[in-house]
Amino acid sequence: MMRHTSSLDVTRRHFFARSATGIGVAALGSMLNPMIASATPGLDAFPDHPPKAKRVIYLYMSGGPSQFESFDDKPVLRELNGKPIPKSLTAGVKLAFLQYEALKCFGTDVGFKKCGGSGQSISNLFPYLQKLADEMCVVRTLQTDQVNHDPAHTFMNTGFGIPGRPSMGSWLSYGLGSEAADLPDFVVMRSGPLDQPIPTTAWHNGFLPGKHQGVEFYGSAQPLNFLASPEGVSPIMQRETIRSIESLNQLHYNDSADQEILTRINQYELAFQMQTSVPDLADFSSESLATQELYGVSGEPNGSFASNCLMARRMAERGVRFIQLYHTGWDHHGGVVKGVTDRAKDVDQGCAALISDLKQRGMLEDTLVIWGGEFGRTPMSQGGSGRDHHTKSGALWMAGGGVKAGTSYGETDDFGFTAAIDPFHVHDFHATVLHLLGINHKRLTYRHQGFNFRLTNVHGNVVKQVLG
Amino acid sequence: MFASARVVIAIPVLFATATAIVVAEERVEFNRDIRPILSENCLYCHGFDETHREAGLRLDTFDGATASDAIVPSNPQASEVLLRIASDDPDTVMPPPATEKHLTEVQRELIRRWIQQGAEYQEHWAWKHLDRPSVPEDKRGPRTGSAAIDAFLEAQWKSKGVAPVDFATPREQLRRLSFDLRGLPPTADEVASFESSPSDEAFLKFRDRWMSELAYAEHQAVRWLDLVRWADTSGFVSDEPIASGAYRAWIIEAIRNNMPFDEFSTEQLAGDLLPDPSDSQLTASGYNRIVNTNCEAGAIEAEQLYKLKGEHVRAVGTVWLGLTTGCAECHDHKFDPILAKDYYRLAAFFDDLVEAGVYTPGDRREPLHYVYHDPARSQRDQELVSQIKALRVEIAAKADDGLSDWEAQALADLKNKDSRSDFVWIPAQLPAARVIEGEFAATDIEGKTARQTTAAKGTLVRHHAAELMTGFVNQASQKTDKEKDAYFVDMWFDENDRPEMIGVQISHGDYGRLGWRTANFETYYWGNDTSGTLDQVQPWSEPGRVKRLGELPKENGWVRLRVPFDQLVGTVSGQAFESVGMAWLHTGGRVLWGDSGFELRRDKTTSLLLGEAAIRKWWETPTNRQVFQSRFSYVVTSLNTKANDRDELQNEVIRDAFCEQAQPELMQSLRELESELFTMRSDAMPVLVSKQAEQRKTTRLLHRGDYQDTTGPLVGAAVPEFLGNPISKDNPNRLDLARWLFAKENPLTARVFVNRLWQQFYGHGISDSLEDSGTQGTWPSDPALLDWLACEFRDGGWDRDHMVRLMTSTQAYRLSSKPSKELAQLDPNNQTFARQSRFRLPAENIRDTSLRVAGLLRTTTEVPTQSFFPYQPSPYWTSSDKVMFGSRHMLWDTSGERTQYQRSLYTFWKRQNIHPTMLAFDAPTRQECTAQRNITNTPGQALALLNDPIFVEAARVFATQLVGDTAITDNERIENAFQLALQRSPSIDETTVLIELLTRQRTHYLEHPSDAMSLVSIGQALPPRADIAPEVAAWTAVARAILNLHEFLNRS
Repeated sequence: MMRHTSSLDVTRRHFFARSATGIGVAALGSMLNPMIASATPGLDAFPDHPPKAKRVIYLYMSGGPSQFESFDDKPVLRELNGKPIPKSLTAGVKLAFLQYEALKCFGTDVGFKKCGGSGQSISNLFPYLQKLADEMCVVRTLQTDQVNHDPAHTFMNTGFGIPGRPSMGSWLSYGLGSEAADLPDFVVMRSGPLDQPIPTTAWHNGFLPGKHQGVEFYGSAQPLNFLASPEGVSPIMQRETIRSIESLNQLHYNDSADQEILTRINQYELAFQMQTSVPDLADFSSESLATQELYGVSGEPNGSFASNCLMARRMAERGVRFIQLYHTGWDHHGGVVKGVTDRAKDVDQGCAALISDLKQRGMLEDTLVIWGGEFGRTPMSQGGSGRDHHTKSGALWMAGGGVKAGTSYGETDDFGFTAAIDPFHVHDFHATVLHLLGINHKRLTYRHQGFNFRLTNVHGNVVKQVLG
Repeated sequence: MFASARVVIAIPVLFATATAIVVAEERVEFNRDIRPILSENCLYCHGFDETHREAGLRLDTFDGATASDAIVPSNPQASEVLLRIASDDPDTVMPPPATEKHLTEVQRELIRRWIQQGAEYQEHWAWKHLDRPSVPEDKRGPRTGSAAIDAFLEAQWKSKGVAPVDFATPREQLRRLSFDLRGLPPTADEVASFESSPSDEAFLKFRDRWMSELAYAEHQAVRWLDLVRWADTSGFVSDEPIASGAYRAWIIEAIRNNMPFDEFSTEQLAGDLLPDPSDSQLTASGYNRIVNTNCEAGAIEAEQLYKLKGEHVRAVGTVWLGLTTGCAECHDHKFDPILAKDYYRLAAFFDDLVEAGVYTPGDRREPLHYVYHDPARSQRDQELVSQIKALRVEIAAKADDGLSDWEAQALADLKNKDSRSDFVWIPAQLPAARVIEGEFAATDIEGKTARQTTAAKGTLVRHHAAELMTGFVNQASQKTDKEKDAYFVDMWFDENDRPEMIGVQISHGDYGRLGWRTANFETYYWGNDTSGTLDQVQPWSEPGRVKRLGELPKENGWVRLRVPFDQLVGTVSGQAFESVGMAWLHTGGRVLWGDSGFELRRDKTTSLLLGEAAIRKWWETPTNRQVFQSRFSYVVTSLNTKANDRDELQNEVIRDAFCEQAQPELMQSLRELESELFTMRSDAMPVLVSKQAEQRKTTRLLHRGDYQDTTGPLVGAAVPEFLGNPISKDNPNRLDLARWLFAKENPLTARVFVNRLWQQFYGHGISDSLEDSGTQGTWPSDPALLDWLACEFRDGGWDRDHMVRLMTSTQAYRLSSKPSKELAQLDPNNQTFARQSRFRLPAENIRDTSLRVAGLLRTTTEVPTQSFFPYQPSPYWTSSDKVMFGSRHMLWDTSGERTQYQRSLYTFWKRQNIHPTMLAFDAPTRQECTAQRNITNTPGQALALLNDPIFVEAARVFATQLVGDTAITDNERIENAFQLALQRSPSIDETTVLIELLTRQRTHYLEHPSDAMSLVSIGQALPPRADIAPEVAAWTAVARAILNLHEFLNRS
């Protein structure tokens, strides 16, 4: 996979052949080959068709955001508020908490507005996004197989309910390789209230090689574990140490011709570059005042969702392939109106800022922005004011990256219980995202335990209607 | 006609793929050449899975393939298969274009020739009967033992026309042996001694010595921990701690004692079913209990129980059978003849286990077994358990007469709002409790039972009991009169030895479990705490939640202390509290403690009194979360349900409560026994164990894995049919399963095991796919060698160490790992083992080796049962939402010097968040069974090695050692450093690089002594004197460089 090592190989050999003596640390500085930490390619076969999107920013609302307080307006639920929901709808459907409760319609009073030229219906809890309706493709029929958080996260990210398979970002890193010289292909950030933990399985590489694993960045000036040099070690001292390690490894290579050594030299170089580039990434001072105001952040990252959005844009600019921003606190079994109100306040501005910012930089057309959770919520109330987990309907929207802007996909029945037309299953979602990135989901496979695994298992259809 | 075959010959790689090379004249082998092609391209639709079979055609058997002339033996032209795969019509070509699969020219030609040669099908290599192959002979005559292994390999080399490389250097050999056996390097002296006389005897002597060390068992155990996905936590969502430490220790001890593999496996699968099982055998049965378990509130019990079955089935498949059994959950296996029925029948073996589908957060996950240091206590524990059991049977045997009167009275009392009474929550003789802290002595005073505690003047003593059989109380919902409602404690003052301060504490938590934050405690006291303890933050108290209620009572003898509800310290916002226990404290004096509890209105006390029966019922039996979290009010809810509407469980708990309340004398005896048992157990080590339930769970053959579809038949336990050796016994249990695994007729267990062991000592398996020996797995490079090893293992009494000795005493083991030019070209993947392998060390070994070189590694002779908490990057666990919450909170309490430097396999293994350095170096999360770790090479590894404080500390302590000898030159120090870390001398070039680094660092640190001091103070080890800090800092850079070298990280 590390094809670039051959050029490095030549350079180093050349160097050591020339200078048999006086292998000075100082001299090593001049050896810094710009190719050393260049992007790594993916598989030759991909993209297998011209991609619309080059990268993904996935705004992941963890806990299961309610579609009824956000993107799916259901007047019938308001009319029948408190009345039983038809049994014909609910029979045989997995429910989480409501397995112990009476099933009654629950209409919301948050208010919706037909927005923009496209007239898409968006709840008043999202005033910023309401202005961007014409950029969004709203899906209202998201369906999943898993009704509890942990397996649902795993399913939404890996296409399978049991841990052990690679997540979508890992698949893309594997298939398409990296465009970022000194950043990981797949970065995860989190924000939101201390709530349910998100299973790290969600960004695990599964059986793919470890380098495809999602790397968690923190929303702070030091975003990565072990990024800072030890106390008392200045950047120059760290650099000298690394150079010495590289020189010694090079000597070892001259002796053994083990290609892994060249890879290791490369990785040390990359690690050192990350020690500078990652803190740079987190330095917002270079952003214009207008941009800082757009996101509502300043100075340095503060761990908020909006701050993570700005970080995501900066990563996107630097070529990170798949950026996933988790925001917790959407699991509203009780007080769903207040809950969604609070969460919308957390994320609305950041989401809108990100879309506008990408657009003004000309990046929206090849950046796919996705917003959604691990499942939707029930049209029935839980305990009067909340909503339970729901597998049959849920909202998700996409923007940019080859998605048809200002459009909707899928309609739920009058109760919003399940898809009346055009269900959008997680497998279809995966197939469609891969398609936008230039990948036929049936072709991106990895052989493990004797089987050619795919993100979509044996399922999934590209949903053409959402393509621009 | 051999055109394409010649193309194959032209490929200059002999063994690069499983399908490999077929020389034109050579016979096409079904297993080697054809099965992989069919498996990959055809069997998904034309294979074993009947429900998914297209056109009724199956190609996985001779009969199926020839029935409809799809294949006509010896007549390719008449075989439909050949026409289809050669077709260029998209409507008829196979595989269909939509599958995105297509056959290569080479593959088509192979199939043609195979049909031409008669289309002979072969049984899959792994499932064939296991018979010992004869050892290839040469002029040296018959060869046995390790020489037999060499004979197999030499025969391979000869047939493939390759020559083995030379032997590795003695240093390389010894390092290899040491890392393979112990995961640690040899010392420089050991290497020097071996270099001076590198004889076979010397090599084997090292081997035998190292195999006798605990380090050997520890290192070997890691593979098993990966396989059985051992971890410290439950796996899902809040991922909370489980009592698995003793089971890990058991694995290490068993390997240390070279317990035969059949016994080793049987005790894990079914230790509890052995006659009169020992502590150790019960501990081993923890294997069945370290499954991933869920406690999400909305999880569905029935669904989760099926998920648990999957945990068991997948594990048996990976650990012993090399079968991907999990694939048959939703449908018959696509490639291997494993039926969906086989999946569910395997699952049924585990239906006897006591386990819940959905636990409450923080659940201890009963059943637990308690291990004591003192065998007499174990004995007493068993006695008490059987006495309690007998007494409970006696209590439950009460006739129903009186039940309706009792019920009427209870219902009346539950409505009684006119009178008041006490609820004795924690009697003087403590009820059964999960948490008992502090010392006390049981005594009597004035005819009443009491607990006596004494404190020296000016010191505070405290004892605490929580998580009680008598329940947990939501205080807020008890309130009816803020002045009269109160907590009370009866106590006895000794007029000759009065305390200076007396206090009572209420402890809280969720789900009836004790929380961990100081906010979970509130303290009330009288008098003056001259010890000052309550003014400071304690793990169990903080000053803001301590309240003085007045002077000490003037009276002596029995006195009642009251904490009226209107005096209570408020709860902390956002924390739903239940009172789960009390603590009793005093400063100075002698105090006797009587009953503690609540003074409440009668309806409230009645309700609280009725809770005990349900708590007792589920005390040691896990049950679904919905029931369990409401257990304390379960009896009352049941009584309040109209008799006709009550379900079976409600009737059952009502009867339980009646039997208990109607027989106070028997209950008194029962409580006494329980009190003794759990007081004793509060000091013992709890261990997750397997236990047979009184009632088995059921397993249905699910349609497409859907637990909601209950139309499938119930199935009983059975082993996969296709293996052809069923267990001939009705209702076989886990013990029968274990015995079947080790029966002579079962060829899989031995093959799978020796293949994995081979990988450990030779770099990759004889079959590369350690996790899958099915038809999709990799064809073994030498099936005869694999079978010979498997027979040696099986027939030699499953002696693991014997196999290790065999594999490490071959000539092949000691070959160099550097390929010759010829081998690099002919056998790039080393399928012939004509050289050794080089690979990066596992995560644990890298950290352990760094600590060993620094002299920091702490080894013991006693296997720890607790994990330690290494240094962690601060956002990693402490301040992220990855922490466990509610009462399941657990602080990351970084281990002190005593345990910080333990071997890495004892790292706290939180499945959702394993330590970032372990993760960076490809250690598995242990959410799933792992037969083989990935080996990657990433910048994250570089960052961890450079900047993780444990490695920096190792480097600076190593540097301190190097600087210690002041009489030597820098060059000599570098020599020493290389010897310690790599057991060799540096080259001139290497020394030059390091001297230059040293010089520049030295200059820097002399100019910046405070930087030097910062660097050399990292970690917990004592920092060096300030005056030598710059020198140590400069050498720390040198040490860091060495500890980061590729050579340092690799076994070759």
